[in-house]
Amino acid sequence: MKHLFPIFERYKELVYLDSAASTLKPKSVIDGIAQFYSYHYANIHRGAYPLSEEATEMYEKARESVARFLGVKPDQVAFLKNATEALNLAVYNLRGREGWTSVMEHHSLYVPMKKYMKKLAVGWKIEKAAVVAITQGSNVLGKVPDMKEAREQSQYLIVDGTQYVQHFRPYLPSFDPDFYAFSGHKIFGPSGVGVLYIKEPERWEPLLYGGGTVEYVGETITFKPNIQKYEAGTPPIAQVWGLKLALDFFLQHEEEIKENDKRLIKYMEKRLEEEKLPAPLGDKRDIPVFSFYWEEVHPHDVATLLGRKHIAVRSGHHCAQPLHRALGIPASFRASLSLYNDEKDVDRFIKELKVIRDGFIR
Amino acid sequence: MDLYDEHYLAIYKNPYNYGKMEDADVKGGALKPSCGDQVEIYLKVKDGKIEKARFIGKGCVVSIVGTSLLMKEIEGKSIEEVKKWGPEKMYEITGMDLSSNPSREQCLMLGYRVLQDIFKKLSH
Repeated sequence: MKHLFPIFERYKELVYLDSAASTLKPKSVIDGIAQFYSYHYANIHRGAYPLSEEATEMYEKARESVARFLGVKPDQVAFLKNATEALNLAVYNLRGREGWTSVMEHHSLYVPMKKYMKKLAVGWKIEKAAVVAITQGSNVLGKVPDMKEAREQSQYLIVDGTQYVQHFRPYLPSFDPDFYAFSGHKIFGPSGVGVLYIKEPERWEPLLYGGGTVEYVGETITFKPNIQKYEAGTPPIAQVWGLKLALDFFLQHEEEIKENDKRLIKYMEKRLEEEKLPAPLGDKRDIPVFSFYWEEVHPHDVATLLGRKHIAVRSGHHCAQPLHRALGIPASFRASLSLYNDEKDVDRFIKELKVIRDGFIR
Repeated sequence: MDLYDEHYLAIYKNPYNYGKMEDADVKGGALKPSCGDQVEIYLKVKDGKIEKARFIGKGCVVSIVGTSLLMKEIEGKSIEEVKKWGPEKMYEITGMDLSSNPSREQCLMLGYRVLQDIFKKLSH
């Protein structure tokens, strides 16, 4: 599938194992954004001329695409800056309650929960709480928690779908969250756009106030009755269109993605075992995310040395300090795979890991 | 020299001036939460002179080698002299080339920063 991603034309030796940080972009998305800027661009909403009407139509068409992708209604889908903003908006609206969140959370959900909940319980096993905030896929362990259980244990459920959506299509009605967030750049789309599904959009407040969100502004202010009240200011118009194209890409390759993920998880686990390399953190993974902690070699050193061989991995705490603390390790290095990876990439990763192991531990 | 040169790897595996000092006159430590690197430095000081410098820590090649060579360098020198050193001194002491990994400069400076904190403590 490398041929669909132009970066490999310039950088043939690249083994990109950092898709949990951001996926590479397919040609269809890159070209589509350029096309949009070249031939369809104008500011949206309130433009009475045809070009603005056209851009508005495309923007709203993208909203319909996202809604279809999630199995929800378009007026429940808000476009924001990224998943972090989306999660902050969700948690802020539920502030002052008692919450539970998983120890696996990314800081983008953990930190707002810590700031805004009256009391916060943190753990591995889902516990009953007014607000349960949980990832649908750990960015370190590759584990997918049981969403139905999360629903059962919560009055309000916030789900961070950021890692999940690049591997599986989520069907929200099956676990009925109150809020569901993901970002564009982790599902083959552009950065600068995030999605927040809001079950009851009329009930909650936006984080930002400004143009585009209001109906009457005078002594009193009335807000738009629809999802637009969450989208103050000029939105990331071209990025929203790019996200639509990214979802088209995902849906077109959905089965290949699933098959490739499954095959590569197995293959990676098998090769690590064959070469007697340390097992990745966590027991079994549902998405192809492999994190490692080697007592003898620092994760930054592994990542730098792999980088010299054109293998892109990430090192550090991956914005999941509570998880690393719970595991009793300072940091880790992570290989995360996607549609453009194959067995050859895994082999090169394993080969270089062995070189590093032999260089440091002897 | 390249940061993964054999010379540095040898120091990393068996660092100079490594070990805890129970009777230190002053000590200081730092944790870099972003990568979990941890360094603790101990000094024995007499008449303004650093008689003995030791450290313990866990970290990457750059931070451990940097701190190790820094400890080796400051032993026998006066605090007044060492205080004048700017961060660029770390490049001089180690001879490390980080031009292709500029983000690792903060690792190189870990021990240096701890030493600056110790000097602040001493002057109070």
